[in-house]
Amino acid sequence: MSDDATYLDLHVHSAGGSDDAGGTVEGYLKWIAARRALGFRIDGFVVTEHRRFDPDPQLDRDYAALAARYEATVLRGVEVETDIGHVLVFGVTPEFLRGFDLTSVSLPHEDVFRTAWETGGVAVGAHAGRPRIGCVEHADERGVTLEGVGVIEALNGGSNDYENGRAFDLAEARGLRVVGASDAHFVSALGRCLTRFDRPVRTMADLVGALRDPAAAYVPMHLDDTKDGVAPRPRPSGAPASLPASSGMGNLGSDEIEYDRSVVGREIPVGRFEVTHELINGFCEAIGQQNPLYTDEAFAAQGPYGGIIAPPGIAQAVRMDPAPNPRVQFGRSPLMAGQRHEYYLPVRPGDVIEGFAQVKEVYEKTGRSGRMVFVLRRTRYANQHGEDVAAVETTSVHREVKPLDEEA
Amino acid sequence: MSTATDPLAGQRYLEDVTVGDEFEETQQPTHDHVVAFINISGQLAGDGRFFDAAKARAAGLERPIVPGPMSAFMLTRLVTDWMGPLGRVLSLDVSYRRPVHHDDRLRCVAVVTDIIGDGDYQDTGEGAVHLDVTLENERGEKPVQGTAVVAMPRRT
Repeated sequence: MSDDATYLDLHVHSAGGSDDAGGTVEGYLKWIAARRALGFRIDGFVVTEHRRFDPDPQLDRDYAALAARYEATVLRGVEVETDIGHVLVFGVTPEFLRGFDLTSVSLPHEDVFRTAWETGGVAVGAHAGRPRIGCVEHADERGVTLEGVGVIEALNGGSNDYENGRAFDLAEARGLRVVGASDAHFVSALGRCLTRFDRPVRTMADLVGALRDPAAAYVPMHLDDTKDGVAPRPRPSGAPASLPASSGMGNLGSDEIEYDRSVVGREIPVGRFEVTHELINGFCEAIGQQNPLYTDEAFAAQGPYGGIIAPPGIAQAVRMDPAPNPRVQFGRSPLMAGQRHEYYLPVRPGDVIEGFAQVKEVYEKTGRSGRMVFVLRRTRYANQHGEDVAAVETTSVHREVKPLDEEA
Repeated sequence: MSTATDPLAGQRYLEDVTVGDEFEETQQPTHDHVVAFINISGQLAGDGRFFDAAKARAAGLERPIVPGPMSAFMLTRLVTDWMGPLGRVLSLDVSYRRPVHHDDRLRCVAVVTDIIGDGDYQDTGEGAVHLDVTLENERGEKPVQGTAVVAMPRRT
């Protein structure tokens, strides 16, 4: 292995810039240190937030200073959304930014690839094998020529093997170069897939120079294969797999959506319930929870709480009256896109829990299934002493879905 | 079960934890599990996507799906099993990225990503352990991903 080789993860989201991510830049750097200690090779990563790029160069200096403490490289690009799926742009300049509204979810891809190139940068088709938000489907099914597209992300840590396999197939058929990246939203996913460059890549100019250079040597790989002596695994197959059709649904990923703005921010009581042993037992049964701390009085009496407590989640699990409804005029009945559970105090049998709910926010994105509208609600739970014991924030997504039996 | 052995026998302490530590459990939620969950929660009793094959298909889903909160609580369970009775879950933050179908074989996986406050966390002597938590199915997909924060005691 050449010491000049550089292992970079080219596609990473952080909690600071992507609302569906949980990893922080420093968290990722700590993870790099921990992985290196185990013999893996990873030299750095590129933060590519969804649909936003902070033009302030101070941010680059801040990231560079932080990265230096971990002897790593942290660079910044952006992941934009185009009419052939998501696209990573490296070497983002003020001139590039003047050309586009990054918040759009359907930028014209020819313009994005051409302008990136003409302004000294480079665009790369992200998670190319994914339905709708990757370019393979647009090339195969809509006959998009992909003119101007030179590099695609064929090995993506958030895609399944079949999706990645389709991307490699497309690259071979069209003579495209390929890179690998994790698409990490959470710390431990960093570097799961990355790109090995046979040259030093420490700056955005280095990275753009490599990706624009037809003679540059770089290959996608899995982190597991960066250890000394590990043989790289074969690339994934794009042969049709037995995936449920609904595997293509989901993935958090925008014309104005109508909804009732008057309910946003107004908290209302949504009911109360008493915590019983039956409720606790039923909850434990449903999730396979066998810890006697929640079900065995004699055992629990010896424990830190001197008696049975409810497992975390009991308040959030029980039905309350409906939270305020912003009456979003889009798509079908919503699914949950995410939840945040917070726990403050123990809940015991006999406690009476009251819920208070509000709508915090309504916003839009695109994903595997197209355009999506999100509603963020928060419910807090107080006990009979007026103390908050827990809370839940739930993001639900409204989508236009296709019934499976209507296509026949 | 009423074997009142020492609840603290298996307690895990902050000193036992290292960044990169990984632990997992397997779950295979069935129709019956989902119905049990809906019965105690009552939240989704009217929504056929969670138990009725035809209603699921009409909603574009190959098979009935597991309610998001139930998946989240399977991950919470993984964490509570691991942390021991003196540990406290402070938060769990998850994205539901793809559907979890009935009978999917799920690996519930957690990885320690950070350990905060070696000593003085919230004046209690506890430390906060940050975890990435993931549900992975037999197709290599990660339908639920997120983070959890757990307060854990120190041995000394």
